[in-house]
Amino acid sequence: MHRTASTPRLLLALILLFSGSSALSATAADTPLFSSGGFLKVHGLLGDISAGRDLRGDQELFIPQLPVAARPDADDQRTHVHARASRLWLRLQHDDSRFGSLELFAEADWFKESDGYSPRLRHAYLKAGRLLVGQSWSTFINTQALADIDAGIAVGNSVTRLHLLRWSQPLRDGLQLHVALEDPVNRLYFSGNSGITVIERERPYDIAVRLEALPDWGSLSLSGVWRELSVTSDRVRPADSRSALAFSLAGRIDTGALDNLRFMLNYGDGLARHSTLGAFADAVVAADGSLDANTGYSTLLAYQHYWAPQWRSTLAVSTARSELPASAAGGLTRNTSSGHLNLVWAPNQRWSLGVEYLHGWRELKQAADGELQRLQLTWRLNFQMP
Amino acid sequence: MLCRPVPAKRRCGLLTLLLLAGCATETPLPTAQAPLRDERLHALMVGELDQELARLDVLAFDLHLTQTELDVMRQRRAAAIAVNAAQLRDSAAEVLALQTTLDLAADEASRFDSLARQLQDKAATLEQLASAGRLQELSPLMRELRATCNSCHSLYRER
Repeated sequence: MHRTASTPRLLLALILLFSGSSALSATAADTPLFSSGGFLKVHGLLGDISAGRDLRGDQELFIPQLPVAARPDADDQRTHVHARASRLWLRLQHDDSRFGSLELFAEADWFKESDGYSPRLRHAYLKAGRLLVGQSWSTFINTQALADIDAGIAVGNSVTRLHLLRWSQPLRDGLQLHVALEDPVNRLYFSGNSGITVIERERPYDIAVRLEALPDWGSLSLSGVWRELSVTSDRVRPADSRSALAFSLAGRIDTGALDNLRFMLNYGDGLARHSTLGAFADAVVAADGSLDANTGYSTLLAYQHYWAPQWRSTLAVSTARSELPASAAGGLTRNTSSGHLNLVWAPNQRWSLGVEYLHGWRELKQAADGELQRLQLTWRLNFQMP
Repeated sequence: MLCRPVPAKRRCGLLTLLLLAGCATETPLPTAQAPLRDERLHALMVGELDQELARLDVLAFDLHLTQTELDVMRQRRAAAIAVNAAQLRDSAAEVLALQTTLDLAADEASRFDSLARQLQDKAATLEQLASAGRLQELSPLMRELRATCNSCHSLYRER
């Protein structure tokens, strides 16, 4: 989950910062290099149940919209074709500025609205040497551990993009430490409500740290995030707050030639924001205003095999769970899992064609559950200038 | 064909088999045993280069890394390619030294010398391109390098 409310201001601020930094260059030869690229991606999906017309849950694996109760029109919209996963990125690089290397990067897809094609900002940041400021992946995430699947995100993967300020410090050969202040957002369930309330706060910032090793055989990381959960709504009295932590052990192991194993093990009472695309709440707020944090964990194991340089498959299995207090409503998600298997043909670096099978399942606190199966065909065309 | 990519885990076994095969054959061996073993290593190096290039190529379809992160990955792969190419360049010098141990006619010797120097030059160029980050030029050069290997092997491998 990520904020986009201040996107125009964010982009403007980054452009002004970059322009100001570039203007301090000593010579005319230090001209920023502009490049752009992305890919066009078309998905054809066939599922055994529909989340509802034009809902995101029918366009990718989105656990909060995985049907649990039977819907009278569940069989009507099981097939979809869309290109919302297409991406466009723009990049300005200036390697010889007075501040070292400068980079302005922005990337968008078309998932902002599920019933139209409005651009959604995925990344927008200025990178000056080791400092990154803007919107990008949370420092909590090891992006090399994310599974190579097309039908959405495996439930055990953390995929939070947010506003942050991050410093990346090399420690020694192949070892890096990343420390960041990140946009604080709380996901709270208020007793009596029907859903999760997202509260965007000003402070204190989340503090995220990731220690990452990059040996020849892949990547290994240990990360943690400290967050403050608090009731800021004035609907309940008195306000309550507490600290919450989450930890992640993640990595990618090259098992020979091009094959690799990817994994993520996440745990903590501060995990919900970084888990399963918003399926879980950080805490339950009782009627008396007391706040009860939900401890959660999630796991991912994915193996990617190359049958030949042009043919690859990924098998991924994933789970996520949130321990819910007795005061939590029965309609909150408690358990979820997903399994993915794909086969992709990439005859060259320009385009690929793939087929993927997905199985998703979720269980509510009240023990009702639902599952879906989906077959997805994906065509992708890469482009880049220059 | 020794120039095809060889899975990493099979390298030690393959090298052992090559060495044993060299000892077990009924064909008279060239007098320089050490250069012969090093010469066959260059084929394994070409296989490693193919593997590193493949690891570079698959980054084109990554779904999650930002372009900034992809650049870091490409630099790592390019550095590995440069190291392997430098080793191949040095190994090609061993191939060149083999010429004196082979019973070649004048025109054959000239051809052998030319191919060995081509291998050396192409490996050196590969190292330079990889070090300079000119990644788009690596695959075409690698095809030329493999063609040089195949030409030499087809003419002289049984000598």
